[in-house]
Amino acid sequence: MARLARADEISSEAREISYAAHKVLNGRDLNPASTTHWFSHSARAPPLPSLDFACFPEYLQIPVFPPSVFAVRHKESVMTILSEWNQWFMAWAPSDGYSASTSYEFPPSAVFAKVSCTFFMEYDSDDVSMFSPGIVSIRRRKPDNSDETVAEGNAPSVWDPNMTSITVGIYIYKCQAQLFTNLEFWG
Amino acid sequence: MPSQRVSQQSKSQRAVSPVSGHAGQAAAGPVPAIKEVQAVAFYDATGRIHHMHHVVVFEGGKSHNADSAVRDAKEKAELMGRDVSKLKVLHVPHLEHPHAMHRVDAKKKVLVELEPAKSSSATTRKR
Repeated sequence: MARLARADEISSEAREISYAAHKVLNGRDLNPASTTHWFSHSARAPPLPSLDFACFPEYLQIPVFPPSVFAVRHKESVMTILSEWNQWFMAWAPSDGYSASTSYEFPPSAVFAKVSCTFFMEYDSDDVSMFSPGIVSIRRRKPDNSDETVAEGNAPSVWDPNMTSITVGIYIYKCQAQLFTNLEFWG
Repeated sequence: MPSQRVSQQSKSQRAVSPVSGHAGQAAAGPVPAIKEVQAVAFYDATGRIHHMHHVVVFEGGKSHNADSAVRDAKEKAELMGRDVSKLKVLHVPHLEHPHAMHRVDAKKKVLVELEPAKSSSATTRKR
């Protein structure tokens, strides 16, 4: 039976599960203080028989495991995060609307991309302001080695195992806001 | 083309910047190096940019020439519901400060950096 848990309980529980999983998978305990190792993991992680998004109430299925023990299945293979790249920038539009887009071009990669707003300040509190970040489109490599562009309709996150480009965009009106783009490279 | 930094507003008119800079980036693990950053600005006769498109090419990624960058920028703007057909276009092959906001110096055809500025109509909330 799920129950509402406090944030500190979730954090503590997630840590315990992560350390337990790491011990099962790698045969050693994690030093709780050495969280800087979260990104120095191996792509050769064995299958996770029972740890896929486990142990959380449905409404709290947040992937808070350290990436070293957090893996997903894709077509019967287990993948982990190899690297991660973030970019953020501020935009503002005092009176008129403004839009911007950024295309990232990279070699075919398994990419999980996310965008979010990390700062927002309205300029005119008596009028409407708007900031709309999203993923405009991706380009992916098909099995016949051709590329295709797929519109994503301003989705906040996109996953593709053979992505070669992603375009993120914002529309901003009478406010100042910051767009945060997160590209995770999996393998 | 070199961009030129100008201050558009007095200090008191500037908005608060919540971070140490206006932008930045961070990476963990073996991320390919950035090979090039281009920009395509769609602007009006006053130099105000209505839509700005950046192309960030990592090592091993697809490079763009001016034509393909502009074509790609138009496609992306249309996907976002923006009509840029009546706007002028400026292609910048090597963008110096990709995190900055810009306007276009219409005579010199160069980008000019802008500082964050509050609207002159910005008011405190009326109670």
